[in-house]
Amino acid sequence: MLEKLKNLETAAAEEIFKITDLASLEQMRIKYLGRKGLLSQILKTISSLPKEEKPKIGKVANDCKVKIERLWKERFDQFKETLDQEKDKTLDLTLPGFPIFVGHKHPITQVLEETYQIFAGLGFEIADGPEIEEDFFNFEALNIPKDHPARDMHDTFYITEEILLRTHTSPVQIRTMKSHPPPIRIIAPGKVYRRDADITHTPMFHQVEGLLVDTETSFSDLKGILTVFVHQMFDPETKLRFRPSFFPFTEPSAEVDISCVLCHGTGCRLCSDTGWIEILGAGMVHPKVFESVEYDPQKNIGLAFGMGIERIALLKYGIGDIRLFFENDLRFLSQF
Amino acid sequence: MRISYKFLQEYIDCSLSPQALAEKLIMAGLEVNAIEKTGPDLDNCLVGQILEINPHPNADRLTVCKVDVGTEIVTIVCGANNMKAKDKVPVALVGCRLPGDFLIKKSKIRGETSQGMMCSEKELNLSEEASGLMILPADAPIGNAITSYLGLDDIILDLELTPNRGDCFSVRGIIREISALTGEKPKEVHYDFSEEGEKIKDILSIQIDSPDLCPRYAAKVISGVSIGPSPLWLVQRLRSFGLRSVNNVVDVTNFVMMEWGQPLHAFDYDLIQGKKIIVRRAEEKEKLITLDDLERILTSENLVIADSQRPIALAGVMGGANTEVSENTGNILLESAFFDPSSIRRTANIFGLHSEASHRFERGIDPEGTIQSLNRAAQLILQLAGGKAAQGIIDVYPTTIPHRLISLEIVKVKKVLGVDVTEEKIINILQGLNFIVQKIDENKIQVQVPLFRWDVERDVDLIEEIARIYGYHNIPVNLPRNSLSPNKKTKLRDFETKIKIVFSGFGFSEAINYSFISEKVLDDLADLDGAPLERIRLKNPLTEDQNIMRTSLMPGLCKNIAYNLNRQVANIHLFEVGRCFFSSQTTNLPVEKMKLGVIMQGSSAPQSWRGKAVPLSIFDIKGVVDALMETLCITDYAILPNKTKWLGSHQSCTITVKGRLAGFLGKVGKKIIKYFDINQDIYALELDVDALKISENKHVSPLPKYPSVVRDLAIIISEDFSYQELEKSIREMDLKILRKVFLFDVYKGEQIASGKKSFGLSFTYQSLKKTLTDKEVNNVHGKIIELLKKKFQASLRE
Ligand SMILES: [Zn+2]
Repeated sequence: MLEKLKNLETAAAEEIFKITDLASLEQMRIKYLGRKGLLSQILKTISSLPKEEKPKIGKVANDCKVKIERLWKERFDQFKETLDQEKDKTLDLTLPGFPIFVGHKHPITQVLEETYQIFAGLGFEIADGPEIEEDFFNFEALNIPKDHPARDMHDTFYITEEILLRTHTSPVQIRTMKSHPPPIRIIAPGKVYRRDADITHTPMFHQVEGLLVDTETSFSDLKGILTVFVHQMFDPETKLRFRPSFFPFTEPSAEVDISCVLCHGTGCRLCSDTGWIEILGAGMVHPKVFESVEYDPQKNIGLAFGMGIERIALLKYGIGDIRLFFENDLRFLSQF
Repeated sequence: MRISYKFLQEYIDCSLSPQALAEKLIMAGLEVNAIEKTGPDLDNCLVGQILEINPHPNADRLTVCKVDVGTEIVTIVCGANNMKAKDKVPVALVGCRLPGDFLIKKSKIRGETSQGMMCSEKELNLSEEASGLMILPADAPIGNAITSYLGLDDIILDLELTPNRGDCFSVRGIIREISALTGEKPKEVHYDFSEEGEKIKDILSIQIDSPDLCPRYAAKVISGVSIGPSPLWLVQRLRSFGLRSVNNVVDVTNFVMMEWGQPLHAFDYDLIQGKKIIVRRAEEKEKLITLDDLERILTSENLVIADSQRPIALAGVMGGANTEVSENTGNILLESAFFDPSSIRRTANIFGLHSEASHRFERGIDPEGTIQSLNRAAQLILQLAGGKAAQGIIDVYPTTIPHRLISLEIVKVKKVLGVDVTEEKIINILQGLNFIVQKIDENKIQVQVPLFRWDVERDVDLIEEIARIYGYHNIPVNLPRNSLSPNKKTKLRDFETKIKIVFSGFGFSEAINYSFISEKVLDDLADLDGAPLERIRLKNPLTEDQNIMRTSLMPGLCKNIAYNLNRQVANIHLFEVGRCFFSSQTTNLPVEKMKLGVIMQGSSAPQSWRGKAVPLSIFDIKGVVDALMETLCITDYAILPNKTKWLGSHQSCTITVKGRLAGFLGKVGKKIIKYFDINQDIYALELDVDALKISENKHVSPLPKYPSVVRDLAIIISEDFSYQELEKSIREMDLKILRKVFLFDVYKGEQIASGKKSFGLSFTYQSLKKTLTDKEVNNVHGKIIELLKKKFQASLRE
């Protein structure tokens, strides 16, 4: 009996080794392992054995079955793999992939989020204010009284005499200072509105305002903060130029130019041959602004800056027409 | 403000090139918009003198002239007839290119050689004058380049001045700046003329009734002037400022305004009634016809110049037609005054009259320049228009305007700028800018501000002056010392950012639309705008289709769909996060609500070779909401079939979060899509962002350790029952081991009776405590079947 099993195992192993196609392998499986196969036939005779031999022979018989099955499986897998490989060989792998819809954040959002990150790194928090503002916050408190020529700098949309669409994010400075004691270190991003429309102006656009108030800071710090911003937003090689300017709510005031992103300073159409491109306004907080929010101008000193996000995006991505930002043409949006 | 580079040399020696000068001015805060050439390049166009004029042998209307151009004598055939021998004229020689790209060549005209061309003003692009040659003054130097003789080789710096620098709206003002920047002193000027007329006191009196609005008023009278054209030099100078020539007297007043920054006005003296000037507030409803021939109805807010009878000028803004200088004027009164800036601005704004004069008065002029300007104008008028000046000036200046005194602590300069500027340097800079400095003690100086610097009020203003002359570029770059405060993030932006990440991940692109929309949209789709609140209207919209503030993101997104479809873009999946505006009875300002809007057109997945793309249905947008809620970990929400505004279709649902209305979703109705010219199905969703910001404390459930069992069930029920009712009933059974109900098939059609539908449902059973036995599962599953049969009259489908 033991011998029979041993021989069966050897024969099966030899036969499996010689088989060259799946069909013969299946026949071989039926021959040895089938319900009426050779192994079953041997097992049927177990019942006629003496009682004490049964467990021992039974175990050997089972081992034999497992062994043959394993050998068969190994061979089967080999065939299967070859077959799969044959199939793969005929698959045209150059067929296009199944597409999925890809969404894109608006380029303005992307520049804004990058701005948040840069300023978060410098310890600035985000502050917010309404887009429909009171004259007081948008102008008066920022040292832009009625009947002052500085109002000409802003073409304002009015809702009523006293309520308007904010023309800049600067009113958030006032709101923040009115509700928080110093020190303050905020940026205020958001939509602003001016009555102006052409290739370089849209009646709505985005600004980010920055404000730092403490017992000690200076114009020199302002230069530092904005240099970090420009170097991270554009390229560390970008040069900055600070020139004196006028904003009613800062003194001294500066306008900041960066070396032209196209020609890097040699002069081209983008920079009107000057090599410089204006990107933001800044300055030291005017004492009158501190007075309007009841901060002591003797104890506090502050710096503030404001920038147009569309302008930065135009320069960063080389876009020629600001109106593209608000047409929401998917062919444009999907490039970002 | 435009200033001629050549012309400013008459006021100061400036050795800088125009570019270098512009650079210096820019870095001192005077922005230079452009550096422009004044005229064409005219190489080989010289001043020539006609020596002989001979008839042309072959043409009656032509002459053959011999012309001396300095280096040679040339022969020129000429068609003009306004010249005579000895006249000096511009001569374009061979090789000269005249404006209009007209190249002068040696030629033969009717058999006579011509070596150039004598030019008219039009041919040199100086004026429209083309009737004859331009005859130059007798003293024009022969052989001089015409460009330099006529000042056509000049460079104009076009300055864009900030509103604080009213003092720079004149040549003198800019010269002061150049002087401060270069250290060169401006040249001295003297305006000498004789006064041979009557004593002014005998022929004029001046009375100021409103000294608050007019602190100073001065006048001079010149009699016997002859009004006529201005000489070339004056026309050219006015042109360099961008002004047009009118007549010699008006031109002089304009020129002196540009030179001194003091607006002047000339009245026809003979038309002033009572020979008296009264400066007063207008009476209510008083009328004045201004120089532009419009009748202005005045109020007491407007300051007028009046004679004994009536207003004759809107002070500082525009003269009156009733005393206008005309060609018949013989005697003139010249006004030079200082008016209150904000009063002038109000008046100019009310009447929309913004002139060079009002522009300067609004920004504040130099009250100490009144007399000098008047004398300068008188000198020039006598020179150009003749006449006699009355003796003396009437100058009413009841209260001298005091100089501001500011004390400046030297240490404050360093505190604000972050750089050490020595006291000596500070004093030098301020003195260079005409401030008078006095040392008070070790650490403090007192600074007297010149009256033309209205913008300098405080010590920080002085610090800016110091900084801009010291040079912003010389201030070091530093970073603030970090007082390590924790960076508290604003939830609002984090949340907004998160939503944007989620939606771009879902395959939607972000749109940003204007916050204003057309009121017409709301009127035309009135039933769709359910907002009971008042609309927020702009008083001065740019266009009528941007005249009210949006209360929904839908109109903008619908427009975007139409815009893209018109450009053959398909599968438009857009989202927008932005504020909508609602009027409020309880707050001063309207309420601003952040909304999330989503719009979809096309198919639910992109077309590919796998098969036909499935067109969108309302269940796609419903799926978007489910996915959003899952990402935000919001479980307590419901989407309920309900009519809503902004959709106007039967396929519409409201969305509630924690039982509160948060938004809507559905198919956009026919009326709306038609309105926006869209001929395709679109689906939309709008949610209040705040409603999504519910802070559900996240806690993680343990993962099940024991296997789950899935049982499928196909049932047929009446169409009257909604899936939601069915699922709700099962959930309400509160079966502990039922983990999930999943609808895998919905069928209506031939194989089942009409009025019925079939649902394929899959139930997942699982316990956290043990492996479920068949018996336990069958028990619960059986209860569900029983419920379906009893409550929904469901029949099982084999
Ligand atoms: Zn460039």
